Amino acid sequence: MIERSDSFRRYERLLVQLAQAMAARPRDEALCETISEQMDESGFALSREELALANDISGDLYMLESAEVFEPAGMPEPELARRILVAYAQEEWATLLDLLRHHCAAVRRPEVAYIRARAYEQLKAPMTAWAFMDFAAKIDSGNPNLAAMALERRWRAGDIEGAVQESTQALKDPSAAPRLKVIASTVLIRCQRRDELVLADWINALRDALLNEEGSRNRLLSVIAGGYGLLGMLLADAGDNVGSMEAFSRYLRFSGGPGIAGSSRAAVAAALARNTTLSQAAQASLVEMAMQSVESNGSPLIAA
Amino acid sequence: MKENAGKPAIGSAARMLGVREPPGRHADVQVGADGRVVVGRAGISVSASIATMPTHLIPDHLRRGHRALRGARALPPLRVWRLADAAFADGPVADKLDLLIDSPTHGVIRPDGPTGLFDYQAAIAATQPLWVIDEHD
Repeated sequence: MIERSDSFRRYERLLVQLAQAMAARPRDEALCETISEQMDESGFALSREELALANDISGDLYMLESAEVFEPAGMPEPELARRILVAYAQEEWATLLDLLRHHCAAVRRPEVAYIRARAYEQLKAPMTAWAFMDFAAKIDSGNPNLAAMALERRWRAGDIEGAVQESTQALKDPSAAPRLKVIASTVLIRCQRRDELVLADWINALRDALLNEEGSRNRLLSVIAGGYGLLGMLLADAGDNVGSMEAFSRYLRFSGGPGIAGSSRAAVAAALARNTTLSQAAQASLVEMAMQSVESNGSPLIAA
Repeated sequence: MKENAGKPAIGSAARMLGVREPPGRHADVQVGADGRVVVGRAGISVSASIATMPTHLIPDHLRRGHRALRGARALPPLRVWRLADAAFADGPVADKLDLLIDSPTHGVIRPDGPTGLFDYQAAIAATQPLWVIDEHD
């Protein structure tokens, strides 16, 4: 089990902020200097191992401004691509990070960013994981999963205010991907920030998003199920018991697939049978399931 | 530290040859009620080598060709400096100045005894000719 020091966590957060500020165009030099100055105290408290990890993170984050320094691969590119595929399949995250420091045209940039996000998450660098997933979502805006996974990571990394703000915007944006709206709803519920939106507007946004997802050729049943579970909770909050029961019924209809927690199904089924609202434990289970719904279906695969 | 005509620029702002003074948020030292610098574990930060410096302080032109410096993020005019032939070990490093090693990678240059902030800054400034650019891994 990897544990990171408080100094490393603070340094990592500021390093991500600095990398994003340096990548911004036009670059705000004063902001970069301010962030850099804040990094001194935690930076000088890092261990050798943490300094090396910070250097690796910083080097990889140059990807955000297309200024990464690649190392000589020392092998033909097809062999490099093969090794990346094998390491990805075996989830050897540290090896993947090393391999991706060689330029490999067979791996698209959004895929590199996605893999780095997954890898740094395993290495207990959550802000870095968010930064790379967020970058993947920006450069591959056609993939509806990436933005949802980025938002989920932002929340998990502890940037609560940023996650709440992004969630609120997503739920107000008619063009936001349905999967993003489902995750945005879970963020607001988890952060107990239901007041960020008028409940009726929130319900309408989520309902529309779910109808869109249902009609999508690439729909994900787990996303739809999770979304209806959340919708049922919101409708119950709004006092619409009939609508709530209908949403929970839909949840049960769509939640038969793999990856759906049996406990959630049982809790919802029991509540429906008794015609009562869900217990807090059942609600928490639904939120957790909805949060994981995109994750379990979200990996873009490498084409080599 | 920032470079000015081949030597570190003297001053009390960040990235200069001098300490940041209280009550600034990032002050490098504290001053007691008697007006003297509190001699403890505070002062000008120094590192054992470039490889053990935090990545945000390493000039970004060193990124190429140095695996251990690939993440360097400091922009010009920041450079890496060495104080003459001073060793990375506890003890005197210049007139009125002492080096305290507080971790395997980090130390601070502090006053070698009770002194006022003005005199401490003056002692640091007096070392300017001794600093040379050293950006070897």
